[in-house]
Amino acid sequence: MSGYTGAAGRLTRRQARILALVRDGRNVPDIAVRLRLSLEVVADEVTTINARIDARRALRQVSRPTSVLLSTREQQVLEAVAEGLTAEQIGRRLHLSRETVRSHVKTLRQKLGAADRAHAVTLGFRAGVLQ
Amino acid sequence: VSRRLTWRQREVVALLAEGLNAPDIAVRLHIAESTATAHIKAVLQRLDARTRAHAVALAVMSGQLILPDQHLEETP
Repeated sequence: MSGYTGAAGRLTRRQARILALVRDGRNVPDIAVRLRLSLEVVADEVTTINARIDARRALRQVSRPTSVLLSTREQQVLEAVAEGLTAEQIGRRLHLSRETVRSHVKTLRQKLGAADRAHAVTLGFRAGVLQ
Repeated sequence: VSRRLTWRQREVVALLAEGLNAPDIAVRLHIAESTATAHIKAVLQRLDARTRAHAVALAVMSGQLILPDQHLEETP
């Protein structure tokens, strides 16, 4: 928590614990489970924390993936995945074969470290690839 | 048609967002796999989502699933 002691002094004990977990790379659902709080409470607390301290720099440092560099194609494929399109539909949209789409999905999942396509969407949002 | 998820459905979509599948979710929530599958189906229907990946995107975009970074982007 070095460098944030002054700001953290204005946080409640619970907010400080949440901030520490977020900086540790935990997301809201994880924190909710860990601290036995509802998602809403944790989300509200994150809002309060953001309002009270300039946590942006601190959080970004920790939770942003280090080297997420998707190619333009991979980005387009991820956007289509987030829209719920199948490999075949994505292929038609981007003029690619279904197999090429699957290959792009596999590569982007690996680059993002995603377990599946739903997880890839999450990591895409967190990395700022999706908005 | 309400696109609001119930508390349980929000838990389920949060776990889908983490890359968990129905068997994983069943273990995590201490429920039967068939119940987990039913919850996932309900989430997709409620959000009018075509796939689980789509459901995650819709939950994030409708503010029903908050991810740390994405949340911070909205802070002025």
